[in-house]
Amino acid sequence: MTLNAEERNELRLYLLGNLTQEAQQRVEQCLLTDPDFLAELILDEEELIDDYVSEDLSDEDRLKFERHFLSTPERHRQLRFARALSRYTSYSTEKAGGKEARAYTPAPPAGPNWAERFRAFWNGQTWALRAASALVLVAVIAGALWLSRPRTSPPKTFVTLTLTAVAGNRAEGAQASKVSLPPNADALRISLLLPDAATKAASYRVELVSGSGEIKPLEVAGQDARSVSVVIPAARLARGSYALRLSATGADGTERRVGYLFTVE
Amino acid sequence: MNQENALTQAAFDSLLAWLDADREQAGRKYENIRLRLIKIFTCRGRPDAEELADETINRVTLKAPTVSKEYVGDPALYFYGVAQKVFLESVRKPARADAPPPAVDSDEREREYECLERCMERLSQGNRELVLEYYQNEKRARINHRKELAERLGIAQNALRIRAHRIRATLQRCVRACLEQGLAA
Repeated sequence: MTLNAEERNELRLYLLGNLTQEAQQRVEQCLLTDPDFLAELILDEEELIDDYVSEDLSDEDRLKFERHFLSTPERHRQLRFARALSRYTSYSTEKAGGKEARAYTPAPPAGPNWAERFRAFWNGQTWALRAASALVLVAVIAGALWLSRPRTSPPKTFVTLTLTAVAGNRAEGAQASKVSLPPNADALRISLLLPDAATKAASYRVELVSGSGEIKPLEVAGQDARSVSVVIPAARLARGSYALRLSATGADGTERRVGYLFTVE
Repeated sequence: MNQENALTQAAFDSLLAWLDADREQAGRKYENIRLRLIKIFTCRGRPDAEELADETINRVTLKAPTVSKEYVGDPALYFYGVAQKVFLESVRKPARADAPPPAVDSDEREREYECLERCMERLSQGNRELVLEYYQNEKRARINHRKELAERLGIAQNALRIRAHRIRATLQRCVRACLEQGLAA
């Protein structure tokens, strides 16, 4: 069964609980009487979950997804799986050097592009109008640059924490270090002590895994022979348990992963 | 067998006969309707979707001996009418304190990821490559990529969608089994 764009859009609105009663009944009757419709709905559910995971939903749809779509434990399970799959595929693609993503670029449009259209329009205007437009454009760009100048200052007040790699996880008895962040702390600086086998790596990658399941890559702020350090803004750390996953890639491409646990109190 | 059970069995027989003259086929239709009712209640945001689907089927079963003689059309639509009433009643009831989904800590997520890695290794090379290519992260690149992948495989885009979905479903089952084994261990 292949749906057209309009029908697919309607199905997505249905999944987000955003259809009129009449349209909802039409979809549901179809679901009950058309033998192929359920399979199509399941495919669309998966694609909606994937769009949520890859942050391709609008803010409004994201909210509806969280409030309406995630209504059952089964859908929570599906979301967890989609997150794991996304992490796996992005990591594998990254490891392969991103060749795949670069291989598929959209074909250029057949007609005149926007630059050509603009040039034709510009050449048709009087000298005075062109000069005035150029001045306005310069003023707008200068204003935009002024408004978009970076206003955030780098963190000044750190809480520091040194972690050693853990074997196993919390369920297996691994202990998490505890840290509390005072209100005036800008960030948490963590030094991850390297186990022997990971000290000769050519590069390091660190991911923060929060208790809610969000996985965020972290920038390595510094490294030496014994440790790798990361800085996490305090605003991103609510109370709860966290794991840090360090991937150390050796010069020969072999990778070793180690975990660190900490709890924000 | 007491009278109530006998009545229920008779009603259930009527229901199956109404769905299809062939009892085996009727059983399949019954399961299909149940599955779809669960999906409808789920899509309406009901965490108790299975209970509501079963309540709908029970009500239809009780009426089946009489309704089956008068009703014209696809029986599934009769189920739908009853499901609408069951849904309205359920939202009018005082909200039940449904248990929130269990919180999943980062360790569990790591376990799930490790299970996924193992399950990916069990796939054939062709299927593993298809999953990696199909589920790339960037949406814009993903659309073009899938189109090209379908062309390369010589299949329609929808056929590719279905193939990827089947592999994904296999992976999900494998990950669930892996997690359950981990819990039991």
